[in-house]
Amino acid sequence: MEGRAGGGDYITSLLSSSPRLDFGVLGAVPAAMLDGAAASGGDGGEDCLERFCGDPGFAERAARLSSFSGHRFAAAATGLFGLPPPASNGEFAGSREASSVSDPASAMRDANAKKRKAPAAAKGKGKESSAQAGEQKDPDAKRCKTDGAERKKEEGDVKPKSEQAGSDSSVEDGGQQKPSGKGRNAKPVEPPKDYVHVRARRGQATDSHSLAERVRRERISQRMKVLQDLVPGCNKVIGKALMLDEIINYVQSLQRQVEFLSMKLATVNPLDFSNLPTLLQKDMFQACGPSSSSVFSLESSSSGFPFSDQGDVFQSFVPNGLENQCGLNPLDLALSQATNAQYAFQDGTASTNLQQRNFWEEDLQSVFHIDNGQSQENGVSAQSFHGQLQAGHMKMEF
Amino acid sequence: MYAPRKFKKAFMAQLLVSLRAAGQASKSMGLRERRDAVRLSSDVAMALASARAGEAPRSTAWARALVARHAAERRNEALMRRIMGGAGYEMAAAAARSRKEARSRRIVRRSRRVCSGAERKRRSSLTAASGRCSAMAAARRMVKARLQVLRSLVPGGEALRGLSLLSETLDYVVCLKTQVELMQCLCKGSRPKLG
Repeated sequence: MEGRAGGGDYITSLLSSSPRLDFGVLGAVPAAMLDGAAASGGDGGEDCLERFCGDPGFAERAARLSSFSGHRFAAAATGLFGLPPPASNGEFAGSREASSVSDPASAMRDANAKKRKAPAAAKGKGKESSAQAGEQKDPDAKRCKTDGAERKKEEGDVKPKSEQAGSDSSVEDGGQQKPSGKGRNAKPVEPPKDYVHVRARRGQATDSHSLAERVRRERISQRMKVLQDLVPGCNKVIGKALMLDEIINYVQSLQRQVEFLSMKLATVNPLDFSNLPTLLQKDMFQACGPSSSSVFSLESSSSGFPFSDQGDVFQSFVPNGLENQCGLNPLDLALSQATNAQYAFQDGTASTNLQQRNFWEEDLQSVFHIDNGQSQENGVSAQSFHGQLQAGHMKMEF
Repeated sequence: MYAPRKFKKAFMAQLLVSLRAAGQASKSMGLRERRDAVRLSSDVAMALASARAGEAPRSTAWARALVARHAAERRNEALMRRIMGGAGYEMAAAAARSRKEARSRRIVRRSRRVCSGAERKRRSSLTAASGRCSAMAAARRMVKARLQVLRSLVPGGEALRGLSLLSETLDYVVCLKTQVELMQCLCKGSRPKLG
């Protein structure tokens, strides 16, 4: 097994938290990655859930996934994949064109196929059906993939079964890692290069067009699955068009919500955001007890008041003249936890060393450096948030 | 809790920073301008946080496009400068400019592809005459139309196709969700507590 221990693999957490996903669809990857997930272990369910749907770096993971499958399928199925990059790019472009026309149809066929795959996930069954489907597939396989009409004719039981068979067989092959395959592979093997290597499935066309298309389709179906789990209410609909509908509605509603909330923020709070961090901490971060007071004192310190002591800080905050409806709240909050005043001051003075930082990619890196550097207390989350806010306030002074 | 906690924290910190900047800038602004300032700051915060806390070595396309879209408007310049720093704003402005050129190039490319696609459709409509195939063609058209709508929704999506569009949508949806959650927290927090 590959043992991809805890590399933040999105698909890993996806699969571990959604057992209802059909493994056959994703090919050999889930089997290996599940083992990797089990091996990594220490992630825990919480991280899995966190990583499950929320991954801004999904594209990178997809790239990793493809390269992963490249190593997995040690056999390059077709010689065409071994072509130098410019040529292969041209082929990919061509196949992309073809697949862009037939993709939705094939994706919908995939969706139908998934239902059939679920009951028959065993590899043995896959082999038998592949044997049957192989003969039917052969005459179609000869046709050129760019001819959309031909692909339409393939519809029906043949394609999904062969896909199922193909994915199941690739599961097997992946497990064994033999370069020459089991006679199913029609083309000679080549050492893995930069491209995605996909094993040719039995009875399917092995030219680069269909393989590239298949890879593309699998990736697209992966993404659609993820989106399906992300967007609420998408589970009931099957089919690319309907799912896209739901996704569009969801995105629109989210955007409208953002607009509405920004309007609300603009009205409710006349842009005096000094008190917000404390309240936010109270809402969002449970372990924020000690930090809220310290943050609060930092707030006032960053706005330029003297670092006398906690009492003075609080008193000076209120007459600051901020027309703050909820000005009393942070006061109450902070006064109720009068423990870490000294701690706050120490941190405040330490963080004044932060000077101007470049915001675009590296500013919060410094924030996290502070975070790591000042691990004096036990409450890590409170600490880190504390550190972040310090850095933020320091920046605002410039 | 959809997004990883790191992203949320980064987002929140960034959001506060930018909102503060907006607050300092807009002491005497109308409601609409304030709302725009708030939205801008939260969008920028989202983009920056995703660039920072995301595991991808490069920032996502929608983040860049979003910031570039905001940077393209002149009146946002001061605020954005304050939030992102001068260098960041320069990068955003450069991205906005390059986006326009890239977009025209892609339009040309797409029109060429549409022509070839039209040929293929004609061919296929000749050969495939069964009702099933026309249903599939109709389905394909529907999907295409929806993809077009999605492209218009997701920032920077006009240039994307198929797979990348879906991944960008994924990221964008996650970040939008986080944004909504965080802003709701802010609203809740700043509402006066009774008693």
